[in-house]
Amino acid sequence: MSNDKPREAEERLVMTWIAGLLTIFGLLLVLDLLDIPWRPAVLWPVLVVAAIFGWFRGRNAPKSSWQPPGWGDAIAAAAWLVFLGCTFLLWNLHPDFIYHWGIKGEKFQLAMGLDFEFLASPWNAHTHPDYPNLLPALFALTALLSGGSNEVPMALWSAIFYLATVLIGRQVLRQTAATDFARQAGMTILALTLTMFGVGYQTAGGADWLLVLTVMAAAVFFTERPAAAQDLPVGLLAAFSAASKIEGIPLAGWLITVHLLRRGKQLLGSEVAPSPLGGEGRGEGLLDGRWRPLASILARSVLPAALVIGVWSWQVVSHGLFQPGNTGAFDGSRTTVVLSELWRSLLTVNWHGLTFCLFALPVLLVVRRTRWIAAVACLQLAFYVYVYLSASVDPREYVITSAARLFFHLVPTVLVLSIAALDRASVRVSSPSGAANA
Amino acid sequence: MRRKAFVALAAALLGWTAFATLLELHRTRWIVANDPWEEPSWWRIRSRHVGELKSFLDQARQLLPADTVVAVAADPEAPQESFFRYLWIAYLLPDYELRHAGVGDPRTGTDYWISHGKRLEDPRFEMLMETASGGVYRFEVEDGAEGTPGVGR
Repeated sequence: MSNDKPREAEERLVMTWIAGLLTIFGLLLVLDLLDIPWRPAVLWPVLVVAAIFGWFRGRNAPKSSWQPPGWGDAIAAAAWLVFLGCTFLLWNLHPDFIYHWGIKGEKFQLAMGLDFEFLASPWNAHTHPDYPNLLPALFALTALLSGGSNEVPMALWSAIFYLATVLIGRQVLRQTAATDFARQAGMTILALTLTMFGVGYQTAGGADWLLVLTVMAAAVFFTERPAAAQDLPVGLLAAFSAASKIEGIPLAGWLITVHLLRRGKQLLGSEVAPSPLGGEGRGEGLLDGRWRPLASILARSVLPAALVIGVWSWQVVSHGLFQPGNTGAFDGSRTTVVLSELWRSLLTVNWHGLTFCLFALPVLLVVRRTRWIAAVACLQLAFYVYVYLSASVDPREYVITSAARLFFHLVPTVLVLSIAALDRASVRVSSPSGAANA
Repeated sequence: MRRKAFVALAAALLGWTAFATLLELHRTRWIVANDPWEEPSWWRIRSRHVGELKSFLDQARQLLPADTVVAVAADPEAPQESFFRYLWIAYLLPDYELRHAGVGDPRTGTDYWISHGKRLEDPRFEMLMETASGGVYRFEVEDGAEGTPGVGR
C-alpha cells in the first residue's frame, strides 16, 4: 500500500521551509555550543547553508503539482494581506511578545547567542525560561541581520507562519473535500478565522502560530494513506513543534506516536521481506525481515524531534531552568472550576463561537479519513485539560489567561476538516453514485 | 446531510466569519485610535503610555552606568499592575539587568532604582532625575550601615 506519490507544491514549499528553519535553528545551537557568537559574518553562511539544504531537498523531490487558484484563494489572499497590514502597524502585537518572546529575542541578540545567565536568573522566571527557543532565536537572528531590534520584522514572522498555514490548508482541503465549492469555502473560512482571531486576540509575535501550522501540516499526512514518504516530513513537523513551545513537546509526541502506529500497522500487514539473517520471515519472529524498514522509519520520524528535545532537556537541566509551576499532582477537585472556565473560554468574544467546532472532534474520530488527525487533536486537548488539573498554580487564572489561545492551535484545522467531512457526507447522500468519485 | 443543507451551512459560516472578522478589525482600530486603558496590563506597543515610558527610559538610560543591575520599585498598593509596568520596562531596557523588588530590597544587589508611575519618597534614596512620570534614584547608605551591595559603590 504505497502512497509515495508526487507531492503537491504547497506541501513541498512549506515542508522545505520548515526544514530550512530547523536547519538554521540547529546551526545556531551548534554555534552556541561551540561558544561562537552569532555575528552577522557567521549568520549569513548559516542562512546560505540552510538555503542550500532546502534547494537540495527540493531538487531531489518528485515533480509537484499546482492547482490554479479559485475565488476562495483570492479571498484568503486578501485576508492575509489585512493581517499583514495590521501586523506591520503592530496593531495586534502579542502581549507575550513583550513579556517573554520578544525580550528573549532582544537578550539573545545582545548576547549573540542563547543568554542562559538571563534565563537562569530567578528574577526572570516570568519569561518562561524553560520554553524551547526556536522563535526567540529567529527574532535574534532577524535583529542581528537587520541591524537592530525592531518589533515589526520580528512580528512579521507570524504573517509568514499564517501564509504557510493557509498554503498547507489548501492542500488539506484538496485532499479531504469532495467539491470545489467546499475547497473554496474552506479556504475563505480558514483565512478569515486566522485574521479574525489573529488580529482581534493580538497574536503577532507569539509562538502559537507555529503550533497552528504544525497541526494543519500534520493533517496533510494523516488524512492520506501511510507511506514511507511521510516518515521524514512527520519527523520534521514533530521537531518543529518541539522547538516552538513547551506545549509543542507533547504535540510532537502525539504526532510521532500516531505516525508510528499507522506505519507499524502498515508494515506488519505488508508482505514480509527476506530476513537479513537468512530466515524466511513469517513464523520466525514478528519483526524478522522488517528490522531495516523499521529502523529507517524510526530514524526518520523520531530522530529530528529526539535531537531537538534532547538538546532542550540538556539546556533546561544543566541551567536549572525548569519552572515548578509547570507540574503538580493531579487534583480532581479542580474539575468543576476548570470545566466552567473552559466553557467561558469557548465563549471568548474574539472567537465568535468558532471554538464550538471542537465539539466535532468525536465525529471526526469516526470518519475514516480524518480519524488520525482528530486523534492528535483530542490527545492535545486532553493534555491541556490535564495540565489545568495538575499544574501548581491557580487553575481559574490559568485557564482564563491561556485557554482561548490554546484553542487556536486546533480550531483552524478542525474547522477545515469539519467542512470537508460535511461536504463528503452531503455528496454521498445527494448522489450515492457520485460518492465513489468523492 | 443533503447537498443544499451543506451549501447553506457553508454559506452561513462564511458570512459569519466575514462579519466576525470585520467586527474584530473595527474593534482593533477603535482601540488603537482611542487608547482607552490606563493599566499597564492593557497597554499596547503603540499606546501613549508606552510612548511616555519610552521617552522616560531614554532619559533614565543617560544616568545608568552601562551593564549595571537596575531595580524597578514595586508598588505594594497595586502589585499586579506594578508587575506589568515592570515587564514593559524590562522589554524597553533590554541592555540592563532588571529586578522588580520592594523599595530598598537588599536582594536586588544594586543601588540604582527606577520608579515609574510613583515617586520614591524614601529619604534613603538620592534623586538623580525626576519627571512627571517617574524618577531615577540611587540608594544612599548611612555611614556604618550595611546597604545594598551595589554596582555603583
